[in-house]
Amino acid sequence: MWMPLSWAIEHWIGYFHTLTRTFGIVAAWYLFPDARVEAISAVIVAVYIVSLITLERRFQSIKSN
Amino acid sequence: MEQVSHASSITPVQNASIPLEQQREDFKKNRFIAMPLAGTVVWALLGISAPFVSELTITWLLYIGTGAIFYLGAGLSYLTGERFFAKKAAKNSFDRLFFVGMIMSLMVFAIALPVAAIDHTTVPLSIAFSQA
Repeated sequence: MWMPLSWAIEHWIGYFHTLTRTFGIVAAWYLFPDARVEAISAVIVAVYIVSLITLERRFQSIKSN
Repeated sequence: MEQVSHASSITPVQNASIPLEQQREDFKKNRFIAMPLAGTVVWALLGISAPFVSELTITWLLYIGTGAIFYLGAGLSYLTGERFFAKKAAKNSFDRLFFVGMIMSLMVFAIALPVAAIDHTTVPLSIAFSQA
């Protein structure tokens, strides 16, 4: 869902989210065969934190305008 | 199919007076943090609990936990001011697009479930991908 969101709001964050998350989880799945849930969760949480900070900054700058 | 055409025949009537470009400007004013916040909380809990539970338990927790993200996000939306189910003055076509996108992502289960039956360690990958 992040890609169409990015297009709709004309902001890069959704493209970043989908691409880093997709490649990140596939890499995690192959690199950590004994801890797949842990590795995939770590990738997702990291991508979410970047996305949350970016979206909140975006929102604050819209509000202040 | 019938429902979709029925729904789309209603929408233009409700926001016929608002051009799509204006709807996009309204949509852009959203905060968009309720759902990612919910996702962060759920995936963090899944990652933390994984080493301490059995393979079967974590597989169930993955299905249940990620299924709960939407409802948790809906709850959080009342704290972030996004208010998912609030009655708005005008329906926004971009909210609808986002909702349709969510339904589409659920369809990944058509391939995720058969593959999970072959190898259950694909479950976190498939679910994580469907939400990307």
